[in-house]
Amino acid sequence: MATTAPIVKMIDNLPTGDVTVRMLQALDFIVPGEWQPVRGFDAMIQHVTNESDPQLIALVRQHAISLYNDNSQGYQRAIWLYNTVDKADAALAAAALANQVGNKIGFLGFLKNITPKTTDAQYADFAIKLVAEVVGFCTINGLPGDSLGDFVKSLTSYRHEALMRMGTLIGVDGVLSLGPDFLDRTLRGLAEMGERTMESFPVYKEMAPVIPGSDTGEKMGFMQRSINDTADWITGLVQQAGLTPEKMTDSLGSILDFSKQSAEMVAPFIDLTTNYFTLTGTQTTARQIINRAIAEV
Amino acid sequence: MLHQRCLIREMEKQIQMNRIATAIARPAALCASLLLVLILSSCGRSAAPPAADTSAPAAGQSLPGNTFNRFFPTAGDGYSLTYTQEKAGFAEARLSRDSTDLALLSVSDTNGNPSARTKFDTASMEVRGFPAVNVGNNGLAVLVADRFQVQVRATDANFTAAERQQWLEKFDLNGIAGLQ
Repeated sequence: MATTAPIVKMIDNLPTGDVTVRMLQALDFIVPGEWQPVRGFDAMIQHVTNESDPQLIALVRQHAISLYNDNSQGYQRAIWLYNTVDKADAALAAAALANQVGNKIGFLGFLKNITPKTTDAQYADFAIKLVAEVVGFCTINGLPGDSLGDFVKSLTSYRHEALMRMGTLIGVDGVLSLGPDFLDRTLRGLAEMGERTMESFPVYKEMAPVIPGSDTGEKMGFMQRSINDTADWITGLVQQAGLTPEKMTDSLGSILDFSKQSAEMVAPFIDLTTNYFTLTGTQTTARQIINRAIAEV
Repeated sequence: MLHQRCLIREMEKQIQMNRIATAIARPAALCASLLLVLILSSCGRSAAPPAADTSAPAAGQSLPGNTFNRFFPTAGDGYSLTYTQEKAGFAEARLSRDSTDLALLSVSDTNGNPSARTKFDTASMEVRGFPAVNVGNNGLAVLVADRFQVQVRATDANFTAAERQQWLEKFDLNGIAGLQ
């Protein structure tokens, strides 16, 4: 029995109605019309190329499979990045939630002593996800991983799933999680956070090998530079979409079961229950492979 | 065995995460679930990251993608070009105007995929003397020096077939031919 190629399987198995999909649909207002829950590799080829000839689609499919399977091309590395940052943030979110519970409930106070401060976890989460986007962009486009300048220049032409991913990062892990001044808070938080604290986060341990820099200090410096250099673009998107914590809570309240009383737990709760980096990152990688495949067949 | 145990723990972690979704309003249940997720997460380390782009061409194989950049059309008159991929044997840029994406422009070295040349055997069109074919309904491609495929693909319905040809002609096709 023939086995299904990995990239085909990943796109074929993308969810179309789970909580991640419903969240992205609820956040469409941030980047209107940019994202669609396309499922199925052939459907993705049609969606990306706007072609319907079965012979051409079969050719593109075959070439796309070989491009992905060649691990020297960097597409597998991009998928790893998006998956890993999503999986690892679940443990970090659990720690953040446990710390919140420890702060609020007397007899569970011990939890706050064995878990990192919620805010430190949230600063690390936002910064590492942003760096994952920078490195993912460079990997897919064939640039060195520290090409921050190219990434910043390309942000104005970000589209589709990639723009949705950035919009969700800013809305959920930025505005909702840390408030309207999330950029300044994260920069201050990183500056005050010790390297040991950063090294204690599972998401950092997983992502450290791909974050530019030779040690934790340099890697944290790259995180700070990434935030500084993208701040203008991010602020522009926040203003354009009118993003506020209240607007985010209202938008997500209809699809996620939480009350306003537990609003500070919402962002880590979302990190635990959704995987928007994996979903949109898989689509971004497939889109780039498909665009290349139809140009090369 | 270790792998199986990790798989089982990963499943247990998922179950706990689902419980968290329902336990958010009940602190004690939430606490127990979170602790289990924290413990189970310690087993969830991913494999090392796959290699970065190391697709440097071997002798006689595809040319590096950045070899092609200087032969792309010059933007201007409200048009802009954003380079979107640069891999061994391939370079691609997006053409846009007033924030609207119009087309994808690319050069590829068919040494990486020789069967791509076959479709030009029966080409009935020419662009600047090079054989040209339509690729589906939205693409127009030429084969330069029997080796390099240059293509313009519309990504906007209003970008016409005539415009595809105009932008194909703006490439320095003779320069690309000189790469042989």
